[in-house]
Formats: sequence, structure tokens, C-alpha cells
Amino acid sequence: MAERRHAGRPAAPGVVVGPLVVWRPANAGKAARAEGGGEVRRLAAACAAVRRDLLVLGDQGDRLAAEVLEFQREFLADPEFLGAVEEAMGRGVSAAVAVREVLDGHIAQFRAEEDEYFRARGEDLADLRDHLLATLDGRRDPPPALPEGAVVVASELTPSRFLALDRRRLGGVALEGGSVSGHVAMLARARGLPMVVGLGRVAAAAGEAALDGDEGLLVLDPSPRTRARMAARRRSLEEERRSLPARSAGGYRTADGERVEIRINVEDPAALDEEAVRFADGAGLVRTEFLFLGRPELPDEERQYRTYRDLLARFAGKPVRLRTLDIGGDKPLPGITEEEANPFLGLRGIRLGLARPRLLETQLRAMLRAARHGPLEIMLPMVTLPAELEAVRAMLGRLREELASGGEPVPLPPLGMMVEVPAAALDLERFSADFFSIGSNDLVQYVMAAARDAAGPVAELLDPLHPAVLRLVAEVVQVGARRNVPVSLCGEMAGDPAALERLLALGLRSISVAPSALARAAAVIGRFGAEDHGGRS
Amino acid sequence: MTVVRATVSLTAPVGLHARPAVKLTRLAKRFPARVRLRPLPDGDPVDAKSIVRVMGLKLRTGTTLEFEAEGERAAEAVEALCALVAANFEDGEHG
Repeated sequence: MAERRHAGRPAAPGVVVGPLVVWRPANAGKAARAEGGGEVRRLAAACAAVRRDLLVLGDQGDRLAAEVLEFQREFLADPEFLGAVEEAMGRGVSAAVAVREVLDGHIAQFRAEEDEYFRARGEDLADLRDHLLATLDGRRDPPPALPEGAVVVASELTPSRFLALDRRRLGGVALEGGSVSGHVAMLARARGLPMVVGLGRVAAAAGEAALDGDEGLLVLDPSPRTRARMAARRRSLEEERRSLPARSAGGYRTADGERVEIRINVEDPAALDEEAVRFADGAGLVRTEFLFLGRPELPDEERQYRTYRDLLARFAGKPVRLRTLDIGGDKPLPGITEEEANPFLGLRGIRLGLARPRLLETQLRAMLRAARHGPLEIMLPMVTLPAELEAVRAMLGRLREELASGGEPVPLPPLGMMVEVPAAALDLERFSADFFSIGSNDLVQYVMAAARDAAGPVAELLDPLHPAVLRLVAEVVQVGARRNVPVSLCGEMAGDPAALERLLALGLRSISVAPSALARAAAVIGRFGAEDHGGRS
Repeated sequence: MTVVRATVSLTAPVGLHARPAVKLTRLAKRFPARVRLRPLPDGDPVDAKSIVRVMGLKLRTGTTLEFEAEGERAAEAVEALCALVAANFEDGEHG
């Protein structure tokens, strides 16, 4: 049988091949009718049963599981909550209707919060609500029995349902819906369990499945070749992850002891792997688009400030490099970006920022204010001309004066630029940036004249190891060394072992990779220089 | 009966989220006194033993909190709660 591939979003790294188990728990049904005076007793019994469940589910040896459920237990034990439910029941509705009414009120309040942590509390309470309603209904919804290494497919999973799965046999989780920032994804990351979300409908009942939590891929009935490849990757990933703490101690180094900085790219802080934060040298690229895309309204300065400040706190003194809004191209933002025939060559990155200075100024003010809380760096995307960099530098100076005269003195963080436009790469001497970061994805696209989202023969042109690309990278590294300006690379290229070796050979000593690629990059760097690689400057 | 009050600044980097809030309510419940929590300058006081109320405040980093206790071991309760917040919830009750 030919293998079938479902693409989703990576939620927890790792790969696994195992038997497929589809779990479709019944949704909480219609609320049962009131049973007169017995309702209060039924409610008390259901609460007691759910509290016992939560205690057992949370007691699995990992702290995070207990923490996730503790809030639900404390809520259930709160006389405020029970009082509200009983008050609703006093109006003649059933326990189930009352539970739903009271919890839905709290859930709506938390879900309306802008702060991701508070929004997650809404998910916790929805979990509690479904658990209570199922218990009141007499449906205990037992989890499926799992074969060894099972890949569980479900439409969504609540934390308590996830924790009810036999963890010794669970190999991976594939969700048709789900979220990368929810508690289940957090738990999966903490357990080193591969997880993919957003797969869309998976029409299968049984068989084998291969799950790739790094690429966000579910393969049903994988071919022998896919299975062998996944198994080999799993073995090397495990080895790399085991050795990460030892490698990071004292800083990442090549085999001959040269220090290499490895930072991580941040797509969305809510989905960020704590372990990667702990072992990385900092954040090398924070894609601030997460604040802007898929939201009903633009984030104001205060919201941005708090987000940047909290991110600095999570990195605990390690540098955090924030890239200003990089929309346009393949990332349109309704009402801001324009429809263009050739968006990759149009009004995007800093071009858009300078064309719409109010948007950029708000963001820069938030960054300046956050810079008081830690080593923040500002990076501009798509810089083509020195004048663009200077315009932003002037803007920063003016905003800083405004803040100071308003009684809020702020430091001036380093201002650097992405090197991704060939014109900038070839003319780098004229840019007075505090650091350069090579954006290999866009650089390859522009050098090869092949769109990043191309398919077929054009996609094959997207080769980061093409001599023309490598020559530009080498030139940027040399200019940086000559002028004593730090150079890094923050594209996918650095996460690819073969490409990373070439980059190291070109003299690059700082990279920023996806969190899931950190352990692998550390291993590649640790091996580098052990044999004669030649060609290093 | 005397009322004991003290203020403390919330410096935990993510504000008062689920885990710290649970620690706080559990610690408050160890004391027989009535304990209330109020975000300064103009928040309404809530029962510090109720997770529903405490989480409902949606407290953020930088807020100054006032604890107020009345009854048996009130001073001890206020002191313990302020210490928990001041220590960024690091050494509160576990479990």
C-alpha cells in the first residue's frame, strides 16, 4: 500500500514509528434533566470523583503534569465555585446545566485575555468542564488500550485526557486540530514525546504510522524506506539530546575547542521549549510577527512591551534579538500590506516599516522600553540600502529622547540587520550595523531567483550550498571579521548538518536555529575540526 | 479584633499565573484567619483562599499587592504570604 502523508504543524520534536490508534472520545452530551433533590448529591459525588481522577492523573512522576492539573483541583475545591453552581441549581436547572453555565462564564473571561498564560487557563477550565459533565453523565470515557509505541490520533486532546493515556506505551500524538501552545503540547515537549497538530481530518482506523515532530508530518502506512529513515533519525536524535547538557556546559565548542554561539529562533514564545531556552546561548531571531498575525487587532505598545520584557525574563540574562515586523512577501497582514504581483520583491520588511512609520515606531518604542530589563538587540529585516538602517537609527534616537524627556530613560540597544538581499551582502562595508545576521532562506531565494514557496523544478534551485550563496556568506563573514562586527546566520541552513559544516568551514562562529535543531547543531559543532576539514579561514 | 496589613511587590516574571496562584491560596488556607488580597492602588479586596477570586484578579508583574488578615494568627498569615510573593513563589508549599 502506498504511504499517505498528512502535513501539520510541529508541536513537540522527535520522530516515532508505531501502531496507529485513533481515539475519538464522545463529546459531552446534552445536559441530563434535573433529578429533583438528588442533584446536589450527584454534583458532590461527581466533584469528588473528578478530584480523585485529577490526583491520580497528576501523580505520574513529572512535575509539569501535577502542575497542569493542580489548578483544576484547586478550582474544584473552591467554595466560590461550588457556591455558584449550587446557586444556579437553586433556580431549578440540573447540575450539568449549572456546571456548564458557571464554567463557561469563567472560560469566556480567560479566553478574552490577551496574555497567553491566562488564555491557557480557559483551556484548563474547559477540560474541567468536560470532565465534570462526562462524570455527571455517567460516561467515564476510558482511554484506549495502547500497544507499545502507539501513535495516537485524535481531533483534540484535553490535558486530562492526554494524561490518561498510558505513558509507557505512548509513542507520539497527532492531532487533527489542537494548538502548539496548549498544555498538551507543553506536556509532550517536557516528556520528549513527538507531537504534531493541525493535521486536518485523518481518515484511518488502524495500521502503522510514522510521526515526525520536527517537520510536522504524519505518514500513514509508511514505506520501508520511510520507516528505516525515521528509525535512524530517532536513534541519532536521542543520542544528540542526551549529550546536549554536557555540550552546553562551558559553552558550545568545536572539537578543537573554538567557541561557537548557538542561539534559537523564536516563532511564538508560547510554544517555546523550556529545555531549548535553558541550553541556548540566547534568542537569535524573534519573529515578532506572532504578535500581529491571526489577531483581531494590532498589538498596542504596552502589549508589545510586556511580551518583549517577559521574553527577556525567560532568557534570564541571555541576549534576545528581536526582529522588527517582517510582513509582506509570503506573510500578508490584512489592512497593512498591499496586494502585489511580486510580493517577495515588493513592500516588505523594513521597506514597509519605513513606509508606515507609525507601526514601526510603536514597535521600536516598546523594544526600547523593554531594553531596560535585559540584553535586548534590535534587528531589521530586508535591509537593502545603508539609508534604511540610518533612518531607523535616527528614529530610535528620537524615540529615546522622547522617552527620556517623559521621565523614562532607556538604554540604546544594539541595532543590527538581516543580510538577505544580495545588494546588501555585496556592499556590506557601507552599512554601519552593530551586528549582521545572514537570513539564509531569503538570501538563497534572491540569489537563485527561485521563490521560497516554489514547487517542482524551481524548488530544486533553492540550494543553500550553491557556490554563489556560499561565496556571499564567506564575504559577509570576512567583512564582519575585518570590521569587528559580529556575524551570525539565522536561516534553516544552520539547522542542516551538511550545510552547518560548510558554514563552520567558512569561519562562521554564531548561528541561530529552530529549537528542535539545537541538539543536532551542538553535535555537529562538537564533531567539527576533529578531522581535517580544510578550507577554513 | 486587630487587622494586620502588609504590602509586597509582585516581581515573578509572568505575573500571578496558575501555579503561583495555587501556592498562594493553599498557603492562605493553612491559617484560620480571614485573609484578603488587594491589588494596589485601586483594586477590590478578594478572599485569598479562593483560587476563583485570586485568578480572577489576573495580576501582572509589577503590581503591588496588599494582604490583610483578621483573626487567629493573622500576623503570621500576612508575613508568610508576603514572603511567598517576595520569593517569587519559589519556596512555598509543594504538592
